[in-house]
Amino acid sequence: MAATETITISPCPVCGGTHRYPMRRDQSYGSEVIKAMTDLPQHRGRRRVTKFLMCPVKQVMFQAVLELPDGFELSA
Amino acid sequence: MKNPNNNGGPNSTYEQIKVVETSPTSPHNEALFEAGKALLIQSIEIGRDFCKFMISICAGAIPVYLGLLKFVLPESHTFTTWQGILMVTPLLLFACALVVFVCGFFPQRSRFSLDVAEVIEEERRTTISRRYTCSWLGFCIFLVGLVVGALAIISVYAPSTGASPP
Repeated sequence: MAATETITISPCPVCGGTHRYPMRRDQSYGSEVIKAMTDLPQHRGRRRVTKFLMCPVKQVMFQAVLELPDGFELSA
Repeated sequence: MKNPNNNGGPNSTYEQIKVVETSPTSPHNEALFEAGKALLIQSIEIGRDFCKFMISICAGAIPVYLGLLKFVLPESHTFTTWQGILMVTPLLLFACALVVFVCGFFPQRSRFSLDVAEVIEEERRTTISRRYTCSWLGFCIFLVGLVVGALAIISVYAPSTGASPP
């Protein structure tokens, strides 16, 4: 299952402004099956990923550390 | 640089993704990014280069095998049916492997738009997958051909050099 979320980077480490980026996240098949089979709330740990983002003002790349629940992946 | 708004409220419209920290790209991560770019671009070419290399190998294996057979076969020799099949099989296997590698070498015959990234990604994935399958299949056929060819040559060479029965 894919969903799009928007994250806000403020302040941008390159230009100091505020930028919004849409993030597409996919839930792994196993997590979806568990969620469909049980009514229990899904307690899961969180993990960190480093995402490369582009500052739209100065066109320079920077990195952001994002925290995602386990079982979720960021896709292109 | 810590992001001051990482309580999930104004930072994201959804609670799931949180921004922990932002910073300029470190030299290590810059190198990783460049490595990723190289992988993305070269992954198609590597499969194609391997297929091209193996086309030459398979094409060369056929005359080499025939030359070896001519070298080891005695002047007058009659073959049984099974010996004949054993000697011809490697040639067929080399030819099959050659065809498989040629299929892997050719580009995909499809049209796609350069404007849509997902379409390019899908075409890239299909091409890599096809080349991967052709490479492995062709290599396995070639390997079997090598083994059968070696057995055929040994089966002909050994009896022809052995002592004749009393």
